[in-house]
Amino acid sequence: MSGNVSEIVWDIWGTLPGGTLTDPAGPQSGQNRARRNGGIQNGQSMQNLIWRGSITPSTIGRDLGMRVAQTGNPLPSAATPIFSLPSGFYTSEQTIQISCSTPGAQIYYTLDGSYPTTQTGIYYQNPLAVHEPVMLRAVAYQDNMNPSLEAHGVYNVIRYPGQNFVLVEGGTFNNGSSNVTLSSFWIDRYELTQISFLAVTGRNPSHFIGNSTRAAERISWFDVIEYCNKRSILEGLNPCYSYSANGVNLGTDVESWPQGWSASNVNHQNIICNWNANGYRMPTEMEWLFAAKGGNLSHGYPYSGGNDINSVAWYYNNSQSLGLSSPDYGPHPGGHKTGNELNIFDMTGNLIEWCWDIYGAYSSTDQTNPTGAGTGTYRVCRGGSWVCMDYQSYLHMRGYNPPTVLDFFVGARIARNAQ
Amino acid sequence: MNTQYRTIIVIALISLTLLLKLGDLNGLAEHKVLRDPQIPQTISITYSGNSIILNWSPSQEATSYKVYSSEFPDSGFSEDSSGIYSDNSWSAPISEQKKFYYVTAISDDVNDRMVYVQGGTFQTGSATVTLSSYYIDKYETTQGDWTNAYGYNPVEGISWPVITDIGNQYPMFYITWYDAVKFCNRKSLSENLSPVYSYFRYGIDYGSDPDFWPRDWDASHSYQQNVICNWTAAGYRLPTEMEWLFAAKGGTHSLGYTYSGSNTVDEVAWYNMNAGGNTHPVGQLGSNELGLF
Repeated sequence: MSGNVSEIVWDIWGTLPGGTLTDPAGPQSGQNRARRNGGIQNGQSMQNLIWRGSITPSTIGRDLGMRVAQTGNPLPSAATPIFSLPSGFYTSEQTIQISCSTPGAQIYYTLDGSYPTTQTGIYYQNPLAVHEPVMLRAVAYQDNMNPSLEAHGVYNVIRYPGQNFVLVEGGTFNNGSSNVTLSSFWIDRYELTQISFLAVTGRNPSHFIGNSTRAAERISWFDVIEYCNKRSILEGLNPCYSYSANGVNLGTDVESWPQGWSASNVNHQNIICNWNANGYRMPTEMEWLFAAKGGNLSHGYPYSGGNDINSVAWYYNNSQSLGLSSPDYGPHPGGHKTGNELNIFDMTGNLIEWCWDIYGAYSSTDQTNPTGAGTGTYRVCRGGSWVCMDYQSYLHMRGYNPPTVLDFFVGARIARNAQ
Repeated sequence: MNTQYRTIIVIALISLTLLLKLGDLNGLAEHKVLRDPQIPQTISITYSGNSIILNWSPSQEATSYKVYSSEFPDSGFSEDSSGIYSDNSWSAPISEQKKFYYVTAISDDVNDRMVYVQGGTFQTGSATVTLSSYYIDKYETTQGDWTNAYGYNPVEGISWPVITDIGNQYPMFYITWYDAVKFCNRKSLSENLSPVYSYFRYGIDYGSDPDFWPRDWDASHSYQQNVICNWTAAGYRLPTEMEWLFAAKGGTHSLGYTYSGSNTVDEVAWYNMNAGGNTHPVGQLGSNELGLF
């Protein structure tokens, strides 16, 4: 225990108290932690058992290590709950039973990705009916026992393709520079959620953990491409995107695309969209704008769904400005603000949303189904976010980012052709 | 169980005369697998100046190795303390009394690592401290432990400075207190034990699975207060400072040494005068009264 690495211990650093102590665990508060004995970089005096030192909780060192301990007489834990259904993709409503082999244990669960305590969880009584994508977490509690290990599962229940999508009837509108005519398309009422991204890609890159029904952020434009194709394949639709390298089309299976395809901005023009496919895709910028304005039902509001940004959007004043400790800090689950004329939510605020288009100047001539600039460095993203001021959130405002950008205010919304 | 696999006997011909003939005598180098065949498959011998160097193929299961030597091929073997171990190799001065060697791969079960420390009362400074019984790892947490919990060894990914003390038996280093806390829970979960640490922030209980902790759970020094320890859980945790000290002193068996296990620092500790700037595989120097290294 003397030498080799200096060993991190639990206690907050402070003067050792005198008197009689039973199972002391250090001071209640403080900035630093204790460590004992020196390491390979220290001299003999620091190997003496009386030596003690301190570190911040973020200190690293060439000879700073650890050793584990265990309580001698631990309380037993309740048995881990068991789900009757494996995680996976399901095309019809599912029933999930939760059981626990500890007699009398009470099971608490959540469906939103938060940790189920006896206060925040739902007390399990009857089998769960699941008809949309959920993350199920469950813990068993029993008096005089520790809580069980948690069980969790991801159930990607999509009863029919395009569940929760809105049909945006085709029409003509003016984007400020020219008239744009669009064919009908489907668009998701809600921004892409963490649960759906996780269920489809197996990853949850979002920063805001704890409620996975939140809109997914820290997803790049490439991540959305991957999500769209994988989800299309899962649901039996034709994927829209393929990857072309050196003149060779590598097809729509993301797993067969070159290693690192999504890591470099320069690859973005290798992605080709098949506009006739029935699978999932990003909206074009003009589809996004038309839907945000309320399509043919537009009232011409400056924000999507109204004149009062506070009633339709999560933005700086009602989110970021409240500070880290506020539950409203950060992106929200969809549907907590008023929807727009088409009952689509959060097109202003919450998260900036990736669109397909390469960023370029608006055309001054009328167009039909435009898909953006032919070449360029950036991809369009629209709609303001929880960190944007009201004057940064008007529907006419355009944004753009390099396609690899990850930010905790950038997410996505998914569309489909209407044929 | 502390499983020792005696795997290979290497008959080494040590004297300089015989060394010259080693090429001819390769056939005499007897590779005898006595027990489990997955532990060192091959051993080679080289000589450098007045030293003999044994190299063996690494075993994934091994947490450490021991070299035994004898003057005779089938008797008189004892653990050879004259050499210096590094990862999968050992070197020692050439000796006429040591002509035969074998290497033992030691595979510690997870449970064997944890030594029961009978509770008791001891004096430290001006305090009289009474501790309940607990378990403590006989070794420092190793890079192998880290690999078991995370699937990779973070030390291998360090490109600068150049690090040579890399391997399953070496202690883990370059870790923060936060890393240590998270590792404890990961290790607990990997063994289906109830994790000790939970994370709370702004009134939200994030539970004890670090996968579900906020991404920035360790981004500020002040967040250390968000880590809550459940002292009744069965999983792994950091020792308290007093648990560490009581164990280091030998617990109720303490002989009152200055260093853990000895009054002679070189017998028990790698430090700046004997370590050569590198950490060393755990368990190579002397242990203390409780068998802790």
